[in-house]
Amino acid sequence: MSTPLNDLGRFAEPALLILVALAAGPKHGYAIMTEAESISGVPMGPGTLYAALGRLERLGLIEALPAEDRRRPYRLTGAGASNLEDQLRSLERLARTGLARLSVEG
Amino acid sequence: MKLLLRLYPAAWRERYGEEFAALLDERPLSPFDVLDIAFGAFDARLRPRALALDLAPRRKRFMHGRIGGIGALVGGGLLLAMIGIGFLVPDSGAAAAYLYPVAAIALLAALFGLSAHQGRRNPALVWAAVALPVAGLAVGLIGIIGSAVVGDRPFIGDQNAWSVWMFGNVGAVAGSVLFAAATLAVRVFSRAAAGTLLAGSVLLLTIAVPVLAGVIGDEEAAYLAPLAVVGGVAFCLGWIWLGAASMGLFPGGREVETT
Repeated sequence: MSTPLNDLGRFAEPALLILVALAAGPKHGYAIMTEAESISGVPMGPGTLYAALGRLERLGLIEALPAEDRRRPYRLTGAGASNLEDQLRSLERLARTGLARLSVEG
Repeated sequence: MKLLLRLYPAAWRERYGEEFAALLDERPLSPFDVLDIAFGAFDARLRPRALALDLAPRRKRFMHGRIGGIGALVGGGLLLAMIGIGFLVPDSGAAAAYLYPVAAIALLAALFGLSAHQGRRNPALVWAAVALPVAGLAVGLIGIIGSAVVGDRPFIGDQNAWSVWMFGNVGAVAGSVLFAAATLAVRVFSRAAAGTLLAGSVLLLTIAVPVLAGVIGDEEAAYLAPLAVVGGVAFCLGWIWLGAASMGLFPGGREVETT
């Protein structure tokens, strides 16, 4: 299934992690980064974070909220939540199929 | 950290710079982070539209600066190449004859393009800063073409083409002093670049004028040759730096005034 995230190339995975991080509520850059790192177990650099944030913002999947001090929180838009759900369902189907085949072969 | 932010295009810094700096303040930078930021900045420069950066107004503002910037980069670069070739290749007059016209035309583009951003606070200075080097480069062009046509024979009056070329160069360098001063006066582009151009131009004039006037003989002039090379290199680097700054490749280019 094709979603806007598929067009993001090497930023598709960081973008998905950001959407998942924002699914629990608005967060600013540092909180998104630490959450994404704890979900994936892989460090996410600031350059990658903002490259993915910019793309998600352009696609209308997230939106910036008014800045608090120097930090600016982001939140999922309706389209972002819908796309995230589609993406996760697709991954869920993939995971279920793969696991089922593994159990058959095992 | 400010240096890292500078890697990003101005439009990106306007949109994300403050929050990005706040994020960097919240955790110590690792070598991985620095590399990641460098790649992120490269991506932002390569694909600004993917990040929804509105570059249109800035690009419009910078059109003159970009044309002038390319001229300054090409002109300064070619003159620097001429200095290098003169050092490394014996009897390299023919190479200079080919390179100089292109360098002169490129610097003319630089003068007109960059002067568009010098504001109108010092109109006499700005006009003189363009007119004098334009006249000098035009005379220099006539001289270099003349040297190809008549060689060492008298070209204009009793002056040979080489002398005409040198007089043109003195005019162009004197005009560059004014151009650098005008750039410094209105704080356009990088002040360090303008200062480098000013220092190089003044050094070149200090040596060239007494030599051309016959105040300094050939033997003394030979001792001053290394200083002249330093002045020439600074002159070229000043133009290259101004060109890079006007195109946003170097700090200072975003401080353009559009008065």
